This record gives sequence, structure tokens and C-alpha cells, in this order.
Amino acid sequence: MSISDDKLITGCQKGTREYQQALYDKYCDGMYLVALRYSKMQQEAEDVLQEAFIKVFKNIKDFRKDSSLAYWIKRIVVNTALNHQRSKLYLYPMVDVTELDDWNERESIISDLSYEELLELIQELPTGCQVIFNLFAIEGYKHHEIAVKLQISEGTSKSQYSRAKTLLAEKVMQRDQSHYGSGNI
Amino acid sequence: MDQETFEHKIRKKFEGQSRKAPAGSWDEVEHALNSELISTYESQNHFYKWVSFAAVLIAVLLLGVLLAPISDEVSSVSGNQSPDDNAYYNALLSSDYNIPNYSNQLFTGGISEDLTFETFSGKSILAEETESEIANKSNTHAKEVIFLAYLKSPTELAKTSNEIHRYHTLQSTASNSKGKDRARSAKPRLWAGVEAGAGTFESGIGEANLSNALNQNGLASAVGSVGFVNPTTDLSQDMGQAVSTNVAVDFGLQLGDRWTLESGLAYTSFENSGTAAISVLDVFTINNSDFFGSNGLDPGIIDGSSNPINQGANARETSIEIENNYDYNLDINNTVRFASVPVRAGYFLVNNKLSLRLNAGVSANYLVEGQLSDPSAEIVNGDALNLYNEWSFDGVGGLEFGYSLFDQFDVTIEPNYQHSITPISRLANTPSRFVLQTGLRYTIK
Repeated sequence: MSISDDKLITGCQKGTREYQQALYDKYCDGMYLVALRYSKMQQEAEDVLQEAFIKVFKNIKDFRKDSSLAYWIKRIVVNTALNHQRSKLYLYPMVDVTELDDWNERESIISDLSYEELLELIQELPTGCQVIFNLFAIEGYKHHEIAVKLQISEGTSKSQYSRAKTLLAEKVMQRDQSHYGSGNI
Repeated sequence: MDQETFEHKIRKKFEGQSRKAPAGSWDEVEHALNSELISTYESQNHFYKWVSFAAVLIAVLLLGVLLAPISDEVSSVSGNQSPDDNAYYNALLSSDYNIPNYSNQLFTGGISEDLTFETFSGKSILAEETESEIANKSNTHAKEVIFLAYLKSPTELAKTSNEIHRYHTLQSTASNSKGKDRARSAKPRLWAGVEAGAGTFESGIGEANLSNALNQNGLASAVGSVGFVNPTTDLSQDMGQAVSTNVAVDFGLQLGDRWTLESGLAYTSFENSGTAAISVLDVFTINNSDFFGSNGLDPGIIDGSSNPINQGANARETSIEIENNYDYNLDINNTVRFASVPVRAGYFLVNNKLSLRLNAGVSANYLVEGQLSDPSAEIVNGDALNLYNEWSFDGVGGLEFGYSLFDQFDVTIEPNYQHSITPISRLANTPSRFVLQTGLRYTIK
């Protein structure tokens, strides 16, 4: 039987190991997917997941319930993942990123993918594009919030996001070509 | 399709989705939590060891004071009794000795030659004194007078030995009046008290110190790339004063007419927050694969060419090193908790119902907790940094105003000034602080 979040929080605030494990069991799978979105490899995501949950248990005494427990844990996972990525993160403003004529078509290609396919492609993106695509498209941050969070300009965030979408669409098209052959060339 | 709809679709794809976490990942988390617990226990154990040591020291001092002044053959009745006080009389009657024969004379004013009296300072000296002599001593010294009551008459005593079998002490009539100078009490007074207070606290963290500490823990390199090359990162810091709170138990001993010695155990807690800005010089290496497709072909983003990147006229460097200099702002929280053992000497300027005492001494401070943390948990790689020294020493000086509520209870207010003798933080910083305490004191004897 699933234990309520309130009981999990109270138990974890007292440091009871059974409640800590119950909280981990309840949220680890969802958070593992979040960690995977920000990682290139499975091992990296595992490290993020473990580090994030240790932070959760250490800081849960300060959790004030002004957001849901799931949202709070997700924020910690995202921040932990960002810390892991910072050493590889270099974000620069892209030049000549203009709205392409076939923008809608490209977005449609991406949004038709399943989440598993999309996850695979996101992991293949360059780190900067990967982080900004996750923050903007999935986490729902605005560009100016991303700019503050990553200490970059808003323009850099926008251009990196555009590049991420372009790369994703190209990867889908390349994959489709390899699946169905390239008879049109 | 508008852009909002695209993000909405993507978001929905991931909503409620999960991926099975690897088996054994909980074991790793549990292992880390256990390690953390062990380190916490070790730190607490260290703290409790010192608390125990302080407690034992205080207990030994108390025991010494309680046992030292009076021998086994002596029983005493102290307080503000007068010779005709019932309590005193009952105490005498409860004696194993046949006191009443003398007590009648003693309490009815019939002090006869059968009794020998002595002042406090000469309790080992036997002397026969007349009633008027005793009265004179009582009045002139305004101290306790010891009445020596022999079981045998002085005549019999002279034939055998000069042994004193029993004597009882009383405060003289001159010192019986309430509200008189308590400093004149010849008996050592011992008291215990509890106190609580608040005061100012400087963080004692200098900019350079904070900068170094942050770099030590990899903050700057975490913000920048592995190639972080500027060890003298500029850092501006703004961390103001904050209010400290403290609780304390103390024990005191009146050594003479006016001098006192006091010790105890105090616990001080302090939290403040501030901001810091790190100027990061980041040297980053970009591989061509970041610009070009993983197949080594330029997709045309930069110059439209589609040739292999390392061949022919279009050959390029395989990587480019770029420097990026920027300021990184972060919020920082500072939490400090000290356990202290103060030792203070005091001098009563006034010691009536209202008292005023001048105190000065030293305080040994043990760092129980010192954490510099990033509340957003976005930057600092280590969860917390400690910039404070494990041990530090303060000089303490101040005044204590007391008011006697009842015979044995006093309420006190103490404005104190403390100044670091040794640095509290790793930077040679010796901050001072002002503390106002109030407390309740119980006089044991």
C-alpha cells in the first residue's frame, strides 16, 4: 500500500530509514527518467539520481510544503544534474539562427515521436542544447529564467533552443532515411 | 503549429512517465546515508566528550566546596536566625548531646561562664569570654559569631582535654537584618543559575577567505570548465551582522567579601545570509563535433560547406579553446553554533538586595557546527563548507545587575562584551560582539 506524502515527509524528517526507503521507492523511477534526460550515459544518470536523493534526505527537514513533494524532489534532481553538466557546459550565442520556412514541419516531426524515442535523441544533443531543451520545453522555464539560472544571456538561451530543435529534427530525418533508404538522392 | 503547442506536446509526452531505476541504487544511497550518520555521530561524540569533561570538572569543584569548610564534628545552622529562633533551638534539641542544659541559658540571654564563645576567625581557639565581650564582638565585626557549647563545663574540660565536642554557628544580630550587605557574609556562597540572551555576531569571514574556501571545494571549477585557470578569483561578499542567541548554565562561588569565581557551559547559535559574486575565467575546449555532425561533415551551419572537416582546403582545428569571463552571483547562508566554557572572576561593587558586579574572564569556544551553504543548491558542489576553527578563545567583560527576589533567588541582567583572543575563522579575524543576558540564580549555601 502506498504511503501518503505527508507520512513520508514526517518519517524522513525524523530520519527513519524505512520511510526514506519508501520515499525512494515511490519516486526513484520517475526521477531516474529526469536524470536520464540531462545525461549522456546511464551511469551518469545513476550518479545524479543517488546524489539528488541524498540531498533530498539531508534537506527534507527544511521542506515547507509550499510545493508538492514530487515537484520539490524534481527540482533537486534537475539542479543536481545541472551541477554535473556544468563542467561540460559551454553556452554561446548562435549566429544566424533565423526562423526557418519549414519550422512547423520540423516541430511536427519531433512532436510525433514517442517519449522513448525523444529521450534517446535528447541524450545525443550537445550538452548545451540538451540542457536548454530540457529546461524550456519540458521543465517549462522561460528563457529569461534560464538566462539567470545558467548565467547566460536570454538570446543565447533562445538560439541554443532553436539549434536543439533543428538538430532533433535532423536526427529524426537522418534516422528515417537510414530506415527507409535514400532512394531519392 | 504555434510554439506553445509544441512545448506543450513535448511536456505531455514525459508527464507521468518513468524509467526503472537500476537495481541496487537504493543500496548506494543507504550506504551514503550511513556514512553521513557515522560522521555525525563522531562529531557529536567529540562534543559530548567535552561536555562530560566540563560537567565532571564542575561537579568536582562543587563537591570540594561543599566538603571543605566544616569538619565532621561540627554541625552548623546557617541563615538569618537569631538566637531565639525556633528553628535554631530545634536544631539544638535534635542533637545527640545533652545541649538543653546549656541552651536554656543560651537562649534566654543567660549566657553563663559555662559556655565558651569564639568568633568565626578563631574557631580552633578556646577562650572563655564574658557576655559583654561576646556582645561587643558581635556588634563590632558584624559577622557570624560561633557559639561553642561544651558538653562538659570548662572546669572539667581543663582537667581532661581541650577537645571541642560541638559547636553551632549563628549569624550575628548585626548581620541578620534583611537587605544588608551580603558581601560581608563570611561563609562561602555557592550558586547555580540559568541564563538566556541575545547579541550581535560578526561572521568573521573575510572575502579572500570565502573565495579560497569556495574554490577549494570546486565551486569555481564547477561553474566553469575543468580548465579553470584563475586561482585568484575575485569575490565580492556581503554578509552583515546577525543576531546570536545563547543559553547557559553557570556555577559561581563567592571567594571572599566581594570576589567571585564563576564558570559553566554556554551554547551560542547564529545564522545569517549574504551574497557573493565570483568572477570566473572559464577556459573551454570546443570540439568540432559540437559544430559539425558526428559523421564529420559540416552540416552547413557556419559556412555552408559540406566537406570533411579535417581534409583539404577546408581542414580545421579539431578543437578550439575559448575563454569566457563572467560573474557568477550566488546566495550564501552561514550557520554557526558554539559550545563555550567561560571562566570569569567578579567583584561586587554593590551587594545588597540590589547588586552590581563587575566581571572579567575568558571563554573557550568549541565549534559544534559551522556551515556555509548555498540555499539554492545549484552551485556549491559540497553541500556545506566550514570556515570556522574548531577551537577559539574570547575575552569576556561586563556588568551584572542582580535583584534578590527571595532569600535564595536572584534575577540578573548582564550586558557583556566579548572580543576574540584567537581567530574564530580560518582568516585571522577576531570579531567582537555585544551580548545581553538575563537569568535566574539560586544560592545553594
